[in-house]
Parts: sequence; C-alpha cells; structure tokens
Amino acid sequence: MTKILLIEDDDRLAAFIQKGLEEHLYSVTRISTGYEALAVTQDISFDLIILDIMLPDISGFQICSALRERKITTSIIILSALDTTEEKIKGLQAGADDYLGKPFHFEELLARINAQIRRKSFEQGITDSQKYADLEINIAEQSASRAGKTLFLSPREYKLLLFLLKNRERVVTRTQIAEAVWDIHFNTHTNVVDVYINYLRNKVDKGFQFSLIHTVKGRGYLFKHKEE
Amino acid sequence: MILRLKLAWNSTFIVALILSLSFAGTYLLFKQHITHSFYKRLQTRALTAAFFHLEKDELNAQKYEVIEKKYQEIHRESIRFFDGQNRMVFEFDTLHYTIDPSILNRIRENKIFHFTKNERQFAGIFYQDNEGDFVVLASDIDKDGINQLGMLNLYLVVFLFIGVVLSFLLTLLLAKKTFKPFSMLIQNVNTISATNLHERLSINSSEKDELSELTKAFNHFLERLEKGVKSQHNFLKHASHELKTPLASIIGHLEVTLSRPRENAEYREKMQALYTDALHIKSILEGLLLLSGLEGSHHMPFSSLRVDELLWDVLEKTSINNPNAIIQLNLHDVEHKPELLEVHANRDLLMIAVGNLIDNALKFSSNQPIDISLNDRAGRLCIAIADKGIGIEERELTDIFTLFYRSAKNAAIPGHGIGLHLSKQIFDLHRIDMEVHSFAGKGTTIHLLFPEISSPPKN
Repeated sequence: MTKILLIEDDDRLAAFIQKGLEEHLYSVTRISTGYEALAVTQDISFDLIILDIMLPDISGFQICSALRERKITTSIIILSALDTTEEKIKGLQAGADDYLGKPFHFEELLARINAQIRRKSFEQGITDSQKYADLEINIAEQSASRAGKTLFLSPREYKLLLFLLKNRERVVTRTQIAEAVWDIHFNTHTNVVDVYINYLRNKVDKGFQFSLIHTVKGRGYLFKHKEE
Repeated sequence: MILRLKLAWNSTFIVALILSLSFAGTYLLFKQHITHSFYKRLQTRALTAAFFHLEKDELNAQKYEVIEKKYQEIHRESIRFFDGQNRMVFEFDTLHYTIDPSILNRIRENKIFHFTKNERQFAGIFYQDNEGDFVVLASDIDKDGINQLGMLNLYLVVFLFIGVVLSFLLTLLLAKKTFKPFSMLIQNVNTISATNLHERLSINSSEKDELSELTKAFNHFLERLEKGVKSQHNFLKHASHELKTPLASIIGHLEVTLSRPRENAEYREKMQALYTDALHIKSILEGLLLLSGLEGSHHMPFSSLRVDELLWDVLEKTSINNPNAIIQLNLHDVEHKPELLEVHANRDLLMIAVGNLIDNALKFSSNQPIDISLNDRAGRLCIAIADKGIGIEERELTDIFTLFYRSAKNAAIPGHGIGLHLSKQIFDLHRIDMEVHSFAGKGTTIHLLFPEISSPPKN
C-alpha cells in the first residue's frame, strides 16, 4: 500500500483529501503542523508527501528544504493557495516535485500523485548516477552528459533517454516507448516517437565518436554501445 | 483668483522697473546737460571779464564797447582774477569762499577747467596777456537749473506712480478677461461627475488657442474615462450575472432537495448538479482573477521553453479532466527543426491560453477527435488546432473574443464566455497572432502564429 503523508492545517480540506485518497486505497497519515512533520519523517518513510505552504508554525518551503537537506528523496507535492509563478518557482527550488494551486480538482491531485509514483518507479532500476559507455545520467539533478559534455534535454527527451537506458541492449517498440514516456494515449498514426528519437539523436549521438541509438527496421529502437 | 493677481503684480513690477530705469536715465542726462550749459555760460562770462579788464589797451573803441556791454550784463556771477603768485588781484563779489592753489595750478595746466563746490559751479580759464598771466574764475549757483531739475524730478515721480498704478489696473483687467474662459471651463468641468460622464465641454471653434487645445484634451480624457467606466460597469454587470446564475442554481437545488426526504440516487444526482455549478463558479472566478492580473500588470515573467513540452503538459491535464478525448498530435513538419519549438513565454499563462482552445475544440465537437499540428510557416512556428465540430457563423467571428460573449445557439453547451477572451489577451501579450478559420457545421481551425525567433537557440 502506498503511504502518503498529508501536512495540512485546514481540517475540512485535510479530511476530504484523506477520505478521497483512502477510497483510492492509499494509506494516509494526517498532521497539521510543520514540527510534527519534521518529527514524523525521521521515524517513518513515506512514498509521497502532500505539503501545505501556510502552516501555523513553519512554512512549507522550509519543511521542503529541511527534508531535502536530510537526503529524503520522497516525492513532495505542494498544495497551496499561493498560486503565483514566483511561489511555484520558490517551491520547486526548495525541492518540491510538483505544485498544485487551491482550489483544485480532486481528480487532478490524484493524477499528479499517480504521476509522481509512476516517475519514481520509472526511475527504479537506475542508480542515482548511472553510466553507460560514455553517457552518464544523474537522477537527482535530472541531467545527462556524454563524454563529459552536458546534454540539454527537454523533460520528454530526458524521460525517453531514461527509458532507453533502462532497456539498454534490448529492442523496444514504438508502442512500448509511447506508453512508457507519454502517459496519454495518442493515435498510433502519429509520428511522435520517431520525432522525439530524432531530437534525442541530434543531442545524444550527433558529433560523438559512436552512436548509442539504433533503428531496428520494422521493430523499433535499440540503445546499445557497438563500435562501428 | 490667485493666478490673476500674481500676473498683475508681476507685470506691474516689470513696468515699474522699466519706467524707473528710463526716468532715471532721462533725469541724469538732463542734469548733465544743464550743468554743462551752465559751465559754458560761466566760461563765456570769465572770458568777457578777461577781455574787459585786460584788453582795453589792445581793442579798438567799437569792439571794446561791445565787450563792455556784455560785461554790464554780468550781475549774479562772481568773477575773480588770480595772478602768477596765486594772489587774488580782482574780486567782483562779496562772497566768502577760498580757492585752493592746487585748483588754480590745474587751470593753468588745462587752460580751461570746470568744477563744483557745494552747489556753486566754477569755470576757470588761464588767460595770458601782455599785462601778465591770470587765472580768471567765474562762478555761480544755477538756481534756474536746480529749479528745472526739481520740477523734472517731480514730474517723473508722478508719472512713475501713475504708470505703475495704471499698469496694475490694466493688467488685472486684461488677466481677468483672459482667464474668464478658464474659470468658465473650470465651472463646466466641475459639473461633470460619474453620473453625466457622457457630457462634453463646448469648444469655441472660431479660435484655435491653448484654451481650445485644453478643452479638446479634457474631452479626450473624458472619452477615455467614460469608456473605462462603461467597460468596468459592463464587466461588473456581466460578472455578477455570470456568478449569480450558478449560485441561483445551487440554492434552488438545495431548497428543493432539502424540502423532503429523497432516495439515495436522487441525492447523488443533485450532488452531481451542485458539483457542476461549483466548478462553474470556480472557473469564472479563476478567469476573472487572471484577467484582472493581466490588465493590472504587464510584467509577467517570461522564460525560454519548449512549446512541445508545454503542449504535452496541457494534453496531460486535458486527459485528466476529459479521459475520453482523442487528440492527434502531428510534429512531422518540425521533425528536423527543433529550434522552432523554442519560444519565449510565460509558461503558466500560455498553458491556460492553449488549454482553453483545446477544451473549446473538444467541447464544441462533442469529443470527436481533434488534430493539433506544429508547422513551419516561413520560419515561424504555427500551431494549428482543428476540430470537426459545429463551427462558428461568419458574423460571429468578430464577437467570439468579447468578454462574456456566448453564441445563442450554444446555450446548451456549458461555458461562460471568458476563455477565448482570456486566451486572446494572453496571445497578444506574447505577440502570437491568432487566426480563426471556421465553417458552420464543418468545424473550426485555429492557427497560432508565434513571433519569429529573434536569436538563434542555444545548444
């Protein structure tokens, strides 16, 4: 069962989130102050934290930074009525993974929780700093480099590279890629996967000694280090 | 009218200054002239006396007679003769004054010399003759001159006073006349308030001066003010109406439902209706807040971002709210031009604007598949969002961006007429051109034409 820590001081809102999440079979621990949050995260490990910004004692941003300082990598979703771009950036800089403004649709919160949990499982099987040939990926920083040169990847390109790396030396089909990298189902007639493989090749393979991404005709793609 | 008085005072001060300067100049020049003429007279007298006393032996009787006649005319002037040892050898007066030897020496040096002692003017000449060299000194007080100067002084002071007073009164009169239209303008402006903003100030068309310019500027200002007040008034009217409708529906549902016990299924159905209304209110409020934010500030933070990533995020959100939606994304045209996807934008705002268009496309085509394609149009990124929905009538194409506009035929489709207006404002802020192509009954295609990339993308 996925364990969620809910830090929210508004009782009515907290009660409805707890009820909704429990109905979707999550186990929810509900607390209402920042100090409690810092204490409880020392003993128990959670799969996800939902954090309000305006708490009676310390601010959500501070809690977020404190948790990240303690090397707790649990996904954090900030839930706040402070819904400006500056606040969002502040939250993400403090180490939050996502930011949702109030009022929100419960369905959206649920979807974001699922997305975070999926991302965690997506990253599973890859160590924090994974190397393959001369390619290196840093999960914590969500960055990639090849032969010491930083690769500027967009989020989807990064996710695609991560998926290919996870399935290295194995042929993956376009459908497998589409389902894993894009959560939405889009029409298979479109060429989205090919386009993004092309973007990725331009950044990962172009100008380097050897290629890592290979097309397997009629089947899909292969991520492999083979000298040519 | 402080300004009027101020103008009169200032102008009077200037007039007084100019008059005083010119009068003082006149007085001084006149005084100089009088003094000079008197010296000349004294000099002539001294010469006559010298001739009379010293040239009797050298002149014939006829000439001497003329001199003698002239000498007889000297009454008031004092004449004194001094010899080479500065001794007074002749005195033609009973006055008590002494002459400094240095002055006598000076007369000898200069031949002719004028000076004044107290009020008395002196003219001295050095006369060389066979009887000896003499200094002849004629002196007198110029009583006429002093009287004339005194009169002149009096006249000038009187005229100065009259001039200053007259100038003050006339300027005051002139200022009053000049400022009269202004005070009338002020009166007119004072009569205009929030209730009669439609009224305008009358312009005197015959004259094209600062006043008519000011009146025009006022009228222009009133026009803008009226427009602003009107739009705010309309906005409030519409906003309150839009908010009242779902609220009325909530209250009505609750009243009816609570009036007697009902089946569980019915409660469920009513709760669903309440939920829809609450969502409606929420989205109106969010739209209005965003709009007021957009209007209030033009300093939205912009950053570099990939538009395809933004689209994926929008689509993810859409799929949460609308799981049955089918959206086909076509990136074929930009497959080899990823640099076109780099745009400079405010991520949150652009997500809302594009999200609105996609929501509309889905809403007005009863969830038929919609096509989104990213194209290269002469070096500019163009996002095309196409649906196969009910389309927009041609005559409505200009109205759809108006705040709170709802097409009559779409009354059954939920909405509140904020989305498109908001999207348009956001696109304008990003300098994104929006083209709407629509055929009633066949569908709508919206093209978003991004501004040309000004700098080459990084990487």
